[in-house]
Amino acid sequence: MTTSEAIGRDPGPDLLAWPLLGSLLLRRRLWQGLMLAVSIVLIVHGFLGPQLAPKNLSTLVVWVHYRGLLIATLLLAGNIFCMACPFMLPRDLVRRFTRPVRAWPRALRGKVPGVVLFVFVLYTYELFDLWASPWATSLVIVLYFALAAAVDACFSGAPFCKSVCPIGQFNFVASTVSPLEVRARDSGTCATCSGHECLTGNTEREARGCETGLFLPEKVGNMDCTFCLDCARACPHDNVMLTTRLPGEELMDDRSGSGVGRRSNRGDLALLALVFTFGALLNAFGMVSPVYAFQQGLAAALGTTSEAAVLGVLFGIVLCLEPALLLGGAAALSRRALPARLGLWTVVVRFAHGLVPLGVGVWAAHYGFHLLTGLWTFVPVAQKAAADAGLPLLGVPRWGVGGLREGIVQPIEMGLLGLGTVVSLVVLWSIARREAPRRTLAAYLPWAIVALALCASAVWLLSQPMEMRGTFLES
Amino acid sequence: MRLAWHGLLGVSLLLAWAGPLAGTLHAHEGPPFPILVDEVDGPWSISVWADPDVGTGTFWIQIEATPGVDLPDDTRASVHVRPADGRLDETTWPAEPEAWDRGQQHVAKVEFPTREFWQVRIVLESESAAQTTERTLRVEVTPPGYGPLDLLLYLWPFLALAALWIKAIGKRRAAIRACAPAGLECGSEPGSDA
Repeated sequence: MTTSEAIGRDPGPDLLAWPLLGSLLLRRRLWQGLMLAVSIVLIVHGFLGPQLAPKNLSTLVVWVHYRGLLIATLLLAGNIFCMACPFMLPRDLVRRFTRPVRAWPRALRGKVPGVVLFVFVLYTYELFDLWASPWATSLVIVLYFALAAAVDACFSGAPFCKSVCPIGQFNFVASTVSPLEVRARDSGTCATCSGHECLTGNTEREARGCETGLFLPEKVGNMDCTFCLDCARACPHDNVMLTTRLPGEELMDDRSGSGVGRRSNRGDLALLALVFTFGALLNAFGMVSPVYAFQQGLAAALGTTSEAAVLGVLFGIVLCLEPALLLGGAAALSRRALPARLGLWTVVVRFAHGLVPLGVGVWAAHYGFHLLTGLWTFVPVAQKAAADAGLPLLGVPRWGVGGLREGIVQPIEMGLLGLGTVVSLVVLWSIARREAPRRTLAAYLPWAIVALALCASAVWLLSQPMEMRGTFLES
Repeated sequence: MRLAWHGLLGVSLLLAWAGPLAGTLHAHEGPPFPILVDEVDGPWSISVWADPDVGTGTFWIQIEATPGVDLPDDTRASVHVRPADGRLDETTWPAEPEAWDRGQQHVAKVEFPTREFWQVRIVLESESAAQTTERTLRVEVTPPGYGPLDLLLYLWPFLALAALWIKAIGKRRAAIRACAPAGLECGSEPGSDA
């Protein structure tokens, strides 16, 4: 029996049963094909088109539109971009010729490789000014395709999605606050099922099972779910639904889920959640003017002119030192209220997921700003690209179209940040109540202060003059 | 759950405090957008980017060399504006040269007193090339941001959404609590041992 059934709640609408929408959602190849076509255009234009970022589709679409739409779909629906991931098409093609049998090395399972790559992407983004380089952006897309195909050509399952892909890890964390979830319609049907096709695949239907190892009746939340709907295609009982839920509720849920286990036992998941949250602030910090003064001060203090070194120190401060001080302090204070004597890291692991909604708020505010203020900028660039390619089908470039005014976007930014902070405060309270039922307030307050401090720093960041990377011809 | 409401109130106050700061001290500038791109005239390939805010608007005039022709070193740029309806006289604003690694960049700061469409004339001159060119464009001048009260007003939908979410979570927790005594698998109750 599912939780919804148990508490007598309507299980919610099944989007897969809706006319048109349901069949469209189940046609994954269609979405992947569309994304592949877009990727090819971006790659070609990035390598062969004008090398000024605002005039090139590669930089404009990837750094302004794709990132904004990614976080928007995660907030409004779910992990739709993983569902439509084009990187899986060449990988599936390779797998027609090779059947990998080797398992992904045990030491690399979990989220640590993805976390390392996520930080690496953030670092190279800053170091090589990827937003300003169309050919480098195209190279990144090509490398993504190659890495996905290489990893999954050598190892069985979907280790690229589950453990390696930095975008995937970002999506997994952010989808914990998504309003949609794939789950079993009726757990009674699952209880009588002996084939477990949702996990193992269905040869009759030529459908594979869940490649990230989620057994649907025991699945808890969206972590590791790519929304690929392989389970829905494979289930012989058609007992899989895509339905609504309360965003963020799974962050309070510490049941052991299939393929994931208990959150409170997963240090790597906590690490991912923390890098996601502090990385949001770091990425936003890299976009505002004061970062340059800070970097110059840092370079002078270190006596170096190496940007790589200065950036490395900056990353170390924001991703290691700052979390160590803030979270270590909060853990030290809150563990006094816990019934059992726990190590600091163990306490951090249990509370870390409470900061995820705040992180989502910062990412959404940041990427939303770029998307909304540059909403239509792809139109003239696409028109120009088509004309340059000898296909003036899109008409004369309409330079001058931009997006929403900053006066409208600014309240949206603050609203998203505030919403994330409120959800974080509630999730942290819930975790504190679970961990310290007798002294909840004492366990909660240090974490609430951390959340409010991060929110205040994000407000400051979002009120600084932005560098208009990817939309402006830099001097 | 009462604490959640207090949290909502706290964040509202935080944003209410920060909102005016963000709205007045540091307007979060929107990106400039191109109003003219790669227009070739004489020795110049001209692009113009604009951030036309009420108060002070900014224009970046970027000049690249056309193939086989050197850029004249003495190129001067200026911006001339007047309301599109022609009710005021045109005013002239010089554009100051700035370093730009792809050619020449000139930046003009222009005063726009009102929100409306303005006619903007960009003029380039070079004595050594004995060349003058101009382009006339129409630009909508918009306010750089709202005031603090407007900011708060536009924040309310988000605060209402947060309040709805808190209410829903509270109801759900109550429902899970109600089913727990029956020994049902209720999922992890928010705020209880799972």
